[in-house]
Amino acid sequence: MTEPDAPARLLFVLGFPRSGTTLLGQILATRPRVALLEERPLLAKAVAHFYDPPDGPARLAAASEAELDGYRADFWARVAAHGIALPQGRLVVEQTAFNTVYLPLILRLFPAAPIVFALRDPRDVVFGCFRRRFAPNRFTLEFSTLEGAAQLYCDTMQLTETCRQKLGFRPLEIRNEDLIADFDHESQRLCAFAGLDWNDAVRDFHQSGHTLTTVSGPQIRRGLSDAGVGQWRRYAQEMAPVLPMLRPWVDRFGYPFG
Amino acid sequence: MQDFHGQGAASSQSSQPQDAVSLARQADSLNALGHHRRALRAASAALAVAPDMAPAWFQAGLAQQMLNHPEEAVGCYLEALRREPQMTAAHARLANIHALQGRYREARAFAQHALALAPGDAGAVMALARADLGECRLDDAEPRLLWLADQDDPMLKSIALGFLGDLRDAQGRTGEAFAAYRNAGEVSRASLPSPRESGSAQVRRITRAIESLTAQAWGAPLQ
Repeated sequence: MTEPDAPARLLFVLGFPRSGTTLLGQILATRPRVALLEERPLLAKAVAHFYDPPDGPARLAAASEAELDGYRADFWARVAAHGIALPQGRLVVEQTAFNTVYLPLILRLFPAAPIVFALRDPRDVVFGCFRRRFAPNRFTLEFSTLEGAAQLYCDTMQLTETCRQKLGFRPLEIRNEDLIADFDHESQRLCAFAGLDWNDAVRDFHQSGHTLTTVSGPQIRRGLSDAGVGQWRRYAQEMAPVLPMLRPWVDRFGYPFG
Repeated sequence: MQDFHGQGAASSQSSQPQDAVSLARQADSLNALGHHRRALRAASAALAVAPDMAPAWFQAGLAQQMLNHPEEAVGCYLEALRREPQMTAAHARLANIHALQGRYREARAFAQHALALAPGDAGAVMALARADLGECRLDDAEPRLLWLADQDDPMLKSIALGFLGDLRDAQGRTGEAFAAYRNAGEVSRASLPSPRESGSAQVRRITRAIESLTAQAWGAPLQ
């Protein structure tokens, strides 16, 4: 199953957790012929082979197309197992924020798949991860301390930078704050990038009735809100120990420091 | 929270074919071990033999819920309750799913059913606290969260402390909110085994590997 023979178009929504990935997925899901898959372990088999073992990255680099085809087929089989019908022209949106740590794997398995990357002020992101309880895994365990959350954020952003430099990672970046400030413009950019038309129905993303399975679900259902913008400032004193390590990313993504 | 072995489960099993009972117990064990996909298969197999087996419906619901399929889980729990209306755990789990989906009226109704059957059921109290927070009824949420944060179950305690942080945040008591978040993280961390390789360590290992790639070593063109 080489990529051109894939059963549907595929788009990934990535970004660090609490960066606005759920909102982006819900916007795309308002369009017809879009199947949204949130937080599903669709890459589990490939992760177990190419990521978890110490020689995983070397295996990934050396894998033949025939070998990769097996993992692509497993991915699509898992999509089908979730009851997703795949008629011609359907767009499957895979929205799992934690898949950002699997970016090299995604780029290798699905080099033609467009990627949307959610950005938000790193300080709000890190504080948001620290304050929420996620289903436990090796990554969410890092969120049990503010320092752990900040470290994982920095490590993950460094991985994405390395992928830009070495693997040609060129996503569509959508800043959560811009989306909140000018929803129509940013959602139009998003839909255009995904090859989808845009109309007024996109504004009603929060009334779609879609089941929301991420920790952002309750907020998304209330619609667009700027309540989370700059929330870290009320905790600036408690955040002080991690602000220096976040500073490079605050600068890199163009947020004012201080 | 009461699950498979709770009240009513044994009575409904007594009239079921033995292989279905065995499969449902297998589903129970697999769910407890975190093998939810296999648990779902075992529960489905039990239901193929004994479609009226309430505990098997419950285990199927639990597996669906853990697999992040909340609406499928709702269907299974309702099937369980049709056959065994006194199953407290199914009421409590339905209450929590509805609360998480913002359906607070339904959440409260199922939670009240659960509490009528088992006063003090922690799952039902959690659902009510979630609904309270969702509807900004902070004064109602506070005693429930304080009670939940005092329970022994670390998962429940951690979630309750996190919500208590949100409550303090909404009250503008940020110092107490931060302390509650920190306590929630500590409880959660202490109750879970450390992975052999932490998340950050894995990401750094992968990054180093990508940084050291040469043009020949990657199957796709390098920049």
